[in-house]
Amino acid sequence: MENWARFRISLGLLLPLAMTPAPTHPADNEHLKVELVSDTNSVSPGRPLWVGLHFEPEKQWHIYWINPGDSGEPPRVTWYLPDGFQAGPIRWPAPMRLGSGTVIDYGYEEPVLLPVELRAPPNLEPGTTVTLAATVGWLVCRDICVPGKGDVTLSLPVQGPASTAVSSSHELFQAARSRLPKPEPSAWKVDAIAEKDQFVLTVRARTATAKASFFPLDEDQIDNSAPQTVSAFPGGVRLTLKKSDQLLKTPAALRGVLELGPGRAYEVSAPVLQAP
Amino acid sequence: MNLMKRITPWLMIAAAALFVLPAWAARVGEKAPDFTATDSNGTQHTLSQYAGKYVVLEWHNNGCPYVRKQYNSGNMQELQKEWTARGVIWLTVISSARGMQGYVTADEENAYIKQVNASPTAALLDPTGKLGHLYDAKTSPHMFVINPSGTLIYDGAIDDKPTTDPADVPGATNYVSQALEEAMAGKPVTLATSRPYGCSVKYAN
Repeated sequence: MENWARFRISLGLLLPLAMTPAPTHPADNEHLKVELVSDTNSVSPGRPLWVGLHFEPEKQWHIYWINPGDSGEPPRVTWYLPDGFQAGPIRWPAPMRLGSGTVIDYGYEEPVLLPVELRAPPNLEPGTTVTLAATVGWLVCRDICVPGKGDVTLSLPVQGPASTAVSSSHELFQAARSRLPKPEPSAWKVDAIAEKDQFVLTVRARTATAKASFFPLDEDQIDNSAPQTVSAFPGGVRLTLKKSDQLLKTPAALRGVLELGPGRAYEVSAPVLQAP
Repeated sequence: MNLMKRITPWLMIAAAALFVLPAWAARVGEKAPDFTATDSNGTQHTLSQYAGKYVVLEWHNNGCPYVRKQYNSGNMQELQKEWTARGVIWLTVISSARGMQGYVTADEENAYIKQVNASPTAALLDPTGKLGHLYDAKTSPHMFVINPSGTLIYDGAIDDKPTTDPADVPGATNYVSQALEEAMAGKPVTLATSRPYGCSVKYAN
């Protein structure tokens, strides 16, 4: 996950301007467009502000998830924010499986918003404008890969919280939120048994499920291209996950995203036990 | 029922398994799979002929930005020069299928080697992907190091900076050099595997 960001003072950031948000300055590169958008059309002093990197790869091209899989590289962001702003990590909507054969990756082939929570400092003056900027790097691929880099900016007026209204990008945020994996429900019991060549991940949950798919957060634990055998049982589901050829030591836990269906993705962390 | 009728289905399953599954997946600490492959000069190479020597396998695709990072900076060529001078057999392998990025004819590969001043021991042309699948090469670059006893001692990334930025080359820890230095000094290889980074190998579909 991205660390809390480095931030820098940007020049001329507090300009007394009109109250309407300035248009975003997107980056348009080979095979991909990226822009910085916000959920609301203003920023309030001392309050969280949801922004997002809205990636639009060209049709059939894709970008990568935080764990890109066998090949590829996830997008990275370096923030240039006004004094006092802090940035949280990128939030990753549940990915899809990409690629074929023995090289399988995780990423996004459709336009995707990667939300980030910023926190505004308390000393902002209503009536002024702030400019948020970032340098974004990415790899966009189809059958070939093209690395890209671009600068994006977004200017927003400072207003009190009572005047906050949703922006024209609000729907993008709602869609992204529905695709973000939810925290592992406390009622669930998740663990993994390490066998010679595979892990057996067992999820005891109340929800009935026939389908399940595991996307690992950590690289080099499971074989991304091996099929995952899923077997449902009353009150849960079991997945076999072939070990990666790169795995040398049994990990303490398998962390990842368990997808039970569209819009039903959960972050799980399964402690690993050796087979008896 | 005669014997042939009874065992034929099992023979077919076994035969199918040999074609579908990698017969010997390369695993660090185990014997590296032997192979036969032809280089860009038409010469055949086997792993077994290099018993007694260190062997480096370098999966390559000249169009991939991660490979270009290593070649445009001159880093890969330096590694090839340095290690072949120390007796290491350095084999560049191209597993791109015909029509895919990185595919080269023998003449094109020889021209490329001259143009970029590379000095591998040989460049193995693997358009069927047979050698790639034997080693389960996933990316370009993807590096393997085999010791003189034929054991695979390193399988993974070329270095610790998984980016396309050539500026990341000088400060990177090169995992191939590290493995070779340690093994040649009789020490255990501290990092035997790492996630290989790069473009996916362009296998035939």
